[in-house]
Amino acid sequence: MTETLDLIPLAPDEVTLGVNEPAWLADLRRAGLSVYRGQGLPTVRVEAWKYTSLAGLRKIDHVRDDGTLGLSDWGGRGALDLPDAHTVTLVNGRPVGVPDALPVGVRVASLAHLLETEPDLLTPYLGRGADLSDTPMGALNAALMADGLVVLVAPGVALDRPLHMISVTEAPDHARHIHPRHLVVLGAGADATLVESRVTAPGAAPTLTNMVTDMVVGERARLRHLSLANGGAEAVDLGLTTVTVGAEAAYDAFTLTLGGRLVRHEGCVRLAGAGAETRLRGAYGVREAQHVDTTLRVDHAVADTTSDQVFKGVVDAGGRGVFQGKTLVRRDAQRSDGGQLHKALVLSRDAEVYTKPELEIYADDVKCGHGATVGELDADQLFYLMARGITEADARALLVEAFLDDVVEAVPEGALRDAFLDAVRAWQARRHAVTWQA
Amino acid sequence: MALLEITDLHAALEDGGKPILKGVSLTIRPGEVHAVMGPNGAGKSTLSNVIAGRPGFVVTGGSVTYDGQDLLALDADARARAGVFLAFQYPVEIPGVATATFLKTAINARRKAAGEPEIEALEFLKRMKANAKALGVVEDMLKRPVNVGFSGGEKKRAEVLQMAMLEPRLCLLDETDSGLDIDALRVVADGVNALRGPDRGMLVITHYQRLLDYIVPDVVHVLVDGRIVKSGDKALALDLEAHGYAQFAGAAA
Ligand SMILES: Nc1ncnc2c1ncn2[C@@H]1O[C@H](COP(=O)(O)OP(=O)(O)OP(=O)(O)O)[C@@H](O)[C@H]1O
Ligand SMILES: [Mg+2]
Repeated sequence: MTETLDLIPLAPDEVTLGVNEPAWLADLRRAGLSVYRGQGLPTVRVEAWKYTSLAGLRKIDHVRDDGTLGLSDWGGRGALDLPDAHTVTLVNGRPVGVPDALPVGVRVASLAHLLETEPDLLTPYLGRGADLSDTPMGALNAALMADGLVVLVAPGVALDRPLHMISVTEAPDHARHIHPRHLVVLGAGADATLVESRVTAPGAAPTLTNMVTDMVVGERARLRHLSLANGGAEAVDLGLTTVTVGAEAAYDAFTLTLGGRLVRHEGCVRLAGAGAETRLRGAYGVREAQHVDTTLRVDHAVADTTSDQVFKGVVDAGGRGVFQGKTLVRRDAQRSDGGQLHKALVLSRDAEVYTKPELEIYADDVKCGHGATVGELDADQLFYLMARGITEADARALLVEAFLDDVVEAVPEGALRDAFLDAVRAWQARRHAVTWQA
Repeated sequence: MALLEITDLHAALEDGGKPILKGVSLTIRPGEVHAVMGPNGAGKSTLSNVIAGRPGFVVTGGSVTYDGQDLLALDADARARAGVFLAFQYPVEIPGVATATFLKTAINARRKAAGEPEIEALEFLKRMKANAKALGVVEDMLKRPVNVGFSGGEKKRAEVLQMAMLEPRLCLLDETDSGLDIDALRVVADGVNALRGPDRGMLVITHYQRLLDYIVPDVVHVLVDGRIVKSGDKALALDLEAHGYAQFAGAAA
């Protein structure tokens, strides 16, 4: 059955997917559906979606993914290469197997499975991250979520190696919409590194992924969250991540977006305890009809909290980059420190960049700032490199990598950083191939 | 065959078309060192930039042949791979690109063009260390991004270090002596002299006769207002030091 995304032809009762779902979940789904029905697919008339149009989705008949597809023989193309990580692969949001050899106190499981067997475990967290009325797509996810990954790290436990979550989109037959729902909870004093690769199986039909990830970082805990969005040329990848950071805890994110036709990452980080910190770093590369939107919102809910957003975009011919950063400092959040920076490197005249910084400050003793720049490659630097015999293509690639250098530094040195740099280089090599053909 | 043959070269700024070089001719044979002196704004850097292929200038007349081939037909990177090296008057800082990565990429670009395999990591390190030591470049500088945070003199030493690593056939040194202290001048001149050889040619731009005490030129040219107004042996440099450029005011007009 196909359904247009404007009119989900379901009665509220039909939304409940699992037979034995607890009442709170049914309520959550109903609330989500009612918000989505009220607001519909966001349009550019909605302030938060001013620069990102989903109109193209209406032209495609999507079917809701039924969760039956397995992993095709796709060979890992586009995912980060992290042989030493704990790895879990998801197909259309559904984990296929879970890693063994996890340390005691770390649980990695399928959301669907936990909802069936231990729903009480999820009650305190699921759907508590964001106000649904602010986010119609998040509301739609609440209504339709079927599965996803749950990661629970017990208090004081450190995950020994990164957990690599490879999300593969499979759509061999026709366009699909999928609504993965992930949950990551770190107990007090816990420590973990979560790495995500999001890729599309070769030859997949256009697919809408409408993902929501809720994260809770307990007191004194530390979560590093690194992700690569590397979807296929037709992929529409919408993601909402909500993070609650407890006292003296830290949430450090790095997001690299290189693939997908239309990608929007919405990050909402709430610094909920004194001494909470977040560093949000990211880079994106867009070209040829790609559109990448990064929309961040950091909420300094209490005093003595720190945030820092630095995003860099490389925008080539036909690409569009959007950065909307908001820092909210509530009345009691004295001594908050919040920074925001977006820098775009434009490689072609035919490229577009939109930046919207927002500071909303109600406390008086705060240190907050924002900055944005749009620049081109430096002609003197390019000539200097070429005057040493480096080809123009290689010189440009070196300068692009140099431009991204200080955000990529947010990725821990070693195998992790190498894997991300490899992804950047592969992206650059594709440009050379294109340029060379032209 | 001449290594570099410049014939009646005319060049103008691309932006606005202001003529800078107004008919320069000179020939450098393998093994020769030519010095170019002249007042500020005469066109010395423009001459070296046009030879190296810097964008922003248009050649409006004349020719430049290098080893028998039309140099002006090549892009800057191809000229460099063919063995032309410009030591910049103002070396460019490139944050985010490590000096060692940059040097290795440059060496391998040349090797690739010559159909040779990439340089071995160990050989590269060995050569870099040896050259750095000879030129008084401290290792800490090599770990930094290209030219970033280098003092004026350090940048000039780094230029000569790059030259030594890339082993060009034609070296264009644009005021490599400016910014160097007295001891460094000696060290850098020794570095340049070490590269002198029967196969290599050099064009040394300088304002100071002192450099030419160390790097003794075969020919000295005086460039005034885009023209070579006089050429001679190294005694010409002493003469300029004593009498300045006023004597050529008429010649330039
Ligand atoms: N990119 C440029 N834009 C504008 N003017 C330029 C440019 N490059 C050179 N010129 C002009 O061309 C003339 C020659 O400059 P050039 O740098 O070649 O002189 P020079 O002989 O090297 O001088 P100096 O001894 O001061 O280094 C000067 O008048 C200079 O202002
Ligand atoms: Mg000059």
